[in-house]
Amino acid sequence: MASVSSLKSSNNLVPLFSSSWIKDVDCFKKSVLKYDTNSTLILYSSSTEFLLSDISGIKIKVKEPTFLECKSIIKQTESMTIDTIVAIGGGKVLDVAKFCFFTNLRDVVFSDSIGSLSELKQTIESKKTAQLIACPSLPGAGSESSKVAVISDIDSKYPFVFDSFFSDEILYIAPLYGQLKNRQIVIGLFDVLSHLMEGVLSPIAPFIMKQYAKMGFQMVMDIFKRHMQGESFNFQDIMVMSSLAGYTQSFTSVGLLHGISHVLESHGYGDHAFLNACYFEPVMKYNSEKSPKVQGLVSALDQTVDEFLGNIRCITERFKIEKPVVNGPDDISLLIAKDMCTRTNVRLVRQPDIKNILEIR
Amino acid sequence: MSENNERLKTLLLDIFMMPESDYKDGNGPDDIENWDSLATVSMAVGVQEEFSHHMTPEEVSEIKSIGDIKTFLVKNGISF
Repeated sequence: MASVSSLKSSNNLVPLFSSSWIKDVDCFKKSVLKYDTNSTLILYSSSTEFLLSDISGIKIKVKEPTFLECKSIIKQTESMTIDTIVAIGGGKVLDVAKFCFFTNLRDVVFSDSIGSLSELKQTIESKKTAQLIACPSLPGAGSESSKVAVISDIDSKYPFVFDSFFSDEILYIAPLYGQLKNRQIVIGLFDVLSHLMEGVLSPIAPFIMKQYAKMGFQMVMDIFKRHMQGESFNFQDIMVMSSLAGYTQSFTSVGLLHGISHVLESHGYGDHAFLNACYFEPVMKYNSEKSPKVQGLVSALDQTVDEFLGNIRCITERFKIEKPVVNGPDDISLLIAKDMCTRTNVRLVRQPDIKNILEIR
Repeated sequence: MSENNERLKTLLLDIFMMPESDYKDGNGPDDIENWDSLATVSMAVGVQEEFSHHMTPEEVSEIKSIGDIKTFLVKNGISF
């Protein structure tokens, strides 16, 4: 495997994950071909399809992380013996791979009479019978290194958290990142930053995870700073930070920012990462008003809270990341107030606070 | 009802999303549907914000009822 380099990070965070940096498409093919193609299943998203020409074996394109999609994939593969899953894509593909093949879902008797995931969720258990090779296609929530999978069904989103969801190896495929636009990268970085911020501030975060999250938070802010000064993005650093965010969030939960983005996403106001980018600054401002933890986090960057918020605003303005107009029926703010995420926020969250953040008048 | 009792009541109705009739000293996690481990964390954060008293993890683990929250606050100089 001489063509594949081990990933190195300036802060030596890589030992948390078994990972490799894949320089080009040929290197990727060699990496995948080392597995027995008869027992390897490749799950991928449409944007990563170009990697798979000339690769034989069983390939399934994943569209949405829905229960319906999962049932379809299980049916397509029910007669197969699979010992390796290669999942290439963003959180959607990785979540589907985890849910379909690293739980007992394949053992559960299927029938069309099973209407929704809510009927099944209590019977879903952790089960590992294959290895998971995760190939993230963009920075964000770091599903490649988390033990979380979120599957949607008609009525809701269902988070599943199992140790079997941790991947065995992460392959960072450089050609995937070269095609990303700067705005996409910045939005992805805000998603990374959101998870790391919530990891530091979470009242239930274990000490060591807070330390990892704090280190990652500082590194992501440094990546932003260097980019605003004209430097190109360093994808090796970005992707390691993304994976670090995924790893820490497995232990720290999330907070108000995700409470907002989950609810607004389900009401069609934009995707999770974009909404995290939009509301990062107002949520930090809200939390900073009473939480010394926020002041501590920011002062480690040698900035005052006002300077920090100003710097965040500069980035969102440059990349035209604008909050959506939330046409404010009260139930949106009420739904956010009731979201479980708000209960792990560093501050107590009440409905009027949410209306202020969303600017619902 | 004292002003501090009103403040605590407003806070706990918010956190536990419970009806006013459930605000009783003897009520705890077994009686209040939404009083789970996450709500306990949220309660500790809320008490700190509302009354400026930090609960240590040990103190949080000793809270078994609304009356225990009042006892904690009384020990810290808040009168009811």
